[in-house]
This record gives sequence, structure tokens and C-alpha cells, in this order.
Amino acid sequence: MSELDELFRGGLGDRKPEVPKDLWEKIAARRSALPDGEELDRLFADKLANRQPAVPAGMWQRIMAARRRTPLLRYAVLALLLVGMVTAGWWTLSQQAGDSETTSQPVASQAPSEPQASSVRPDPSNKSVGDATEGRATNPPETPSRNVAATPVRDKETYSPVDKATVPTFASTPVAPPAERATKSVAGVPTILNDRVDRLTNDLLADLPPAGPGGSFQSAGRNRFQAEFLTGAAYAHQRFGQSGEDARELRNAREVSEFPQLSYQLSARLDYRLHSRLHLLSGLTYVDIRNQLEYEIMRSGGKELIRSTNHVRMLEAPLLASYVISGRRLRLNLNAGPVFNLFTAVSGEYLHPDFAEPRELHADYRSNIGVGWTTSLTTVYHIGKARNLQVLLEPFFKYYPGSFTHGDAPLSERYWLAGLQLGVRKSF
Amino acid sequence: MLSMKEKEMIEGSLRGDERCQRALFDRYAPLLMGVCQRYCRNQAEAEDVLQDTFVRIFAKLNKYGFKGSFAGWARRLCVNVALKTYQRKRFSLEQTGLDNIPEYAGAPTAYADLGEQELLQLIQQLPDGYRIVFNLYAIEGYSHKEIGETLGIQEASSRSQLLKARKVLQQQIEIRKRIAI
Repeated sequence: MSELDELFRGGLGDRKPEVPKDLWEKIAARRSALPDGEELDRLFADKLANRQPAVPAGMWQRIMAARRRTPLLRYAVLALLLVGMVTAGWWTLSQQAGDSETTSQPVASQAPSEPQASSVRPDPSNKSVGDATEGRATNPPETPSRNVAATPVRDKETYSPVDKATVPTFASTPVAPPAERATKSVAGVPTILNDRVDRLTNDLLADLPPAGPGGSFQSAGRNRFQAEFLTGAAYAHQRFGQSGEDARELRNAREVSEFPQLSYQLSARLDYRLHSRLHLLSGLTYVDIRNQLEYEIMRSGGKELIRSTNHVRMLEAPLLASYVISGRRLRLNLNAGPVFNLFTAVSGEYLHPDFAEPRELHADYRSNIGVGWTTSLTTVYHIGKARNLQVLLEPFFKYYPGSFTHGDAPLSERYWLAGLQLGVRKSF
Repeated sequence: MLSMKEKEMIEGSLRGDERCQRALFDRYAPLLMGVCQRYCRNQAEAEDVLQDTFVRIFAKLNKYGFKGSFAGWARRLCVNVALKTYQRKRFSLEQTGLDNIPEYAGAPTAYADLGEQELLQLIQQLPDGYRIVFNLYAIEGYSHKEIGETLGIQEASSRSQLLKARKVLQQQIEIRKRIAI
């Protein structure tokens, strides 16, 4: 040890400097002030449990605005119903107006059944009849020799006022069945223009189905049945109900861990025409309701997000009444009726608060959920000249009032579906 | 027991009287705002939860049935809304996040002087899982069994989260205290 070392050791080795007077108080305060366990909890609870901070300005207005907000889906369903009702009403009224016009013209339906039209003498006061008679008289061979007379098409013009007046002019020829009658309606001199008009009319009318008695388009037996194939996607809304307060936590766990995915539906239906406007639809529908189960687990010191898909698969038989609202190429069918469940199978998992691992779904579910109700609006578009192939676009809504789970299950589970189907219809 | 005025407010709100609804809001919004701030990470989220809470209160008011304290009923409803807000998108069986807690950057403060605002900041800085469990256990007074049932986790997870939350809070207080000394 050097002299220098000795110097410092002697001067500082046993030095006892003055301790700050408040040091012990500081240490004691720190020890006592460091809360632990429930003491820490109490500290926070005492100061924060009943804290009442200022509420931001405009909060009440925000709440009122949020309360007034109506869900979009409710608007959509109401709009769809409204559009359907207005369209149906408009169509019904316009049809009634058309029917009353037709019935106010009795001659049209009576003319073909008159056995001896030659006995009918033209009313001299009726100018058009006189003209028509004159025209025919001056050109006797040409009118009956028209090729159009052989065309087996429906003569719509027979029902026009002009046509009624001209009926007696054909009285000299034997009365043909409605489908074979000549389409010539504009009596007079057979000019080139008249010929063109007739040909054009015949071409247009050739596509129409044959008319039945009384002039209305009756469905032939072979057209009564139509087959439909549709497929589409849907949103399935899952709703839980709890049997008792004990099931509240299970319900919470499921509500926060299961989310709807896109569900699917496939339909094969037979359309039977009961009446010109009333149809009956039945067949088979396969539905796959899909929900995603999502949760996180700790694995190897890190979080891992687990996702899987739950399926509720159903086979069901719809029995729908369908009201037809038809236009020339576009047609609407308003459908409604029960859906009878034939079989239900559930697969997947769910989180249960009492278990560390997800549980299998199928144990609590019924294999038949009974009757549901559905309504849809089918938009039908005819394709091609034959018009026996139609494209269908069908938004639908389906509601299952019964629970998908057994009565003794802790949670009831119900669904409604809203979706859109696309398909084709073929006439037989 | 309900005071007469409070009962009138609730009955009026049930009838759809907007003045009564406003009075109910004025009376309970500050209390519920305090609850929301504890469960949420920041002021914006707390305001959203408060809004949802009142929408739900007015929608479910007929289920209150004048049984027990209205403040307690509204508070439970508020807690449920807050929990759903955090659980809706992701259901977490376990929550970690010790590494993400920010270092305290405020002025040195003696522990005894920690005020409401600072305690609130400490809670808001906790990871979601810790914050929710600590709130439910330490402040609302739920048992671990109840927390497990509410959050769909096991009791052991609830205990674990509480211990971790306490540890983080102690660390944060320790940092402040060290600076203060």
C-alpha cells in the first residue's frame, strides 16, 4: 500500500458524513405508500369508483341521433314490400281497366260463332262497314287468297273496334277456328302498304301462344308445369335467447365469438299454374348457414388467432303461393308460404366459459326445426323467341320461429335469412 | 329506494317524454362517463361507449322494473356495453402486452399525491385484458368466478390477469415514486 493510499484511507475510511434529516421519513413514506394487493385495489376504487367527470358537450344530441337511426335492413324490407304492393296494385288496376274495355265490345267474341255470316247485312249507317264491304266487293279474289290466312296465329286485331266492324265482311267464307282466321283486319284496297303492315303484324304475332276461347291466353296443359333451379347467397342472422340467468355468460361468450359469414342456398322447384295469375311452388331447398368462430389462444408464449366455420345445413320443402304480375318480357312473381324442414345437421364448435377448449356444437341441436316462413319476389325475364326459358332473380327473406336447439338447452338459437338467388325456369 | 323525482323521470322516459329522458341523462351521464373512461383506452372510445350505453338504457328501460337502484342497473348496463365493445371483434382467452406499456413521461409525483386523473391514466395504459379484469375485480367488486363467466374465460385466467395488472400498476407507481425521491 502506497503512502497515497494511506492518505485517503486515513482521511475518508472512517468518515461519517451527516445523514439528511428527512431521509428516513422519505424511505418510510415510500414503503408505506407502495400499495400491494388489495391495498392497491382500494386506492383505485376509492378514487375512481364514483368519479363523475364532465360529460362532453353535444353528447345528448349524439344519443338522440343514434336513437333515431333506423337499421338499414328494416328500410330495405319495407321498401321491397312497398314496391311490391305498388306494382301489384298498379297492375291489377290496369288489368281491370283492360278487361272492362274488352267486355264492353261484345261483337268480338260473338262474331266467329255466327253460322251464316252472309245473312248479316252491313249497316248502311256504319261507314267503315260500308267501306269494307265495298273494298271486298271490288276486289273479291284477293282478300281470301292472302297467305297470312293460313298462318296459325292469334289475331289480336279481331278485338279492336275496327275489326268488329269488319267481321261481317268475311261472312261469305266459312267461319274458321280462331287460330286459323285471317289476320287481315284493315279492310280496303290491298295496297302494298297494307300488305307490308299485315306481314309485319303476322311476324310479330307469330311468337305468341295460341289463344283460347274468348280471346284470353289459356295455359295449355303442357305449359302448366315449369321447373326452376336457383342458387344464391344469404345473410343469416343468429339470435340467442337464454333459458335462465345461469346461461347469460354462455350467451355472452357465444355472441362475441361467432360472426355471420356468407351463407348459401340451392333450390329446385316445380311451378304449377293454378290460374293465369296464381301459381303453386314446391320442391327442395338446401341451405347452408355459415358462422365463423373466432378466438385467440396462448401458444408457445404467443397469441394465436383461431378461426373455424360452423355449419347449419338444412334440407327443406317450400310450399309457396305465387301471384304473377306480368309484362311483355318482364314478369314478377310475389311468393309467400311455409317452408317445411326435412332435416337439419349442425357441425362446428363454440366457446363455453366453463371449459378451456371449444365444445362441439351438435349435441344441443335438433335434427328437425319444424316450419319456417318465407317470402320472395321473383323477377322473371323471358329469353329467346320460344319464350320457354326464363332467367330468374329472386330476393328472399326467410324466418324460422322455432329454436334450432333442444328445449332443455341453456341457449335457444333462432335465425332469419335474407338473400338473393339467381336461376333459370324451363317450361314443359 | 328511488327518490320521487327519479321515479318520475324513469316513468316519463318510459312514456317517451323527451324532457324526462334528458333529465335522466343529465343526472346519470357524469357517473357513467366515469365508468366508460375506466374501461376505455381514451376519451373518444369512452364517448362512443357512453352514447351506446344511453341508447341501450332507453331501449331497455322497460326491463328495469324499479327493482333496486337505478344507478346500479345503469352502471351494470354500461359495463356490459363497454365489455362488448372490446369483445365484439375479437374474443381473447388470454391477454398479454406488458411490453407495450409506455414509460411514464410526466413530472415526478409523490405516490400519495397521485390524483384521479393520474390513476385513470395508469388504468387506461393497461392492456385491454388487464384493464377489464382490474376494473371488474378491484373497482366493481366482481369475484373471479363472475369475471370468468362474464368474459368467458377461466377463473385462473382472471386471477392471472389481475396479478399482472397489479404488477404493471405497481411498476408504474414505483417509477414515479423513484423519480420523486
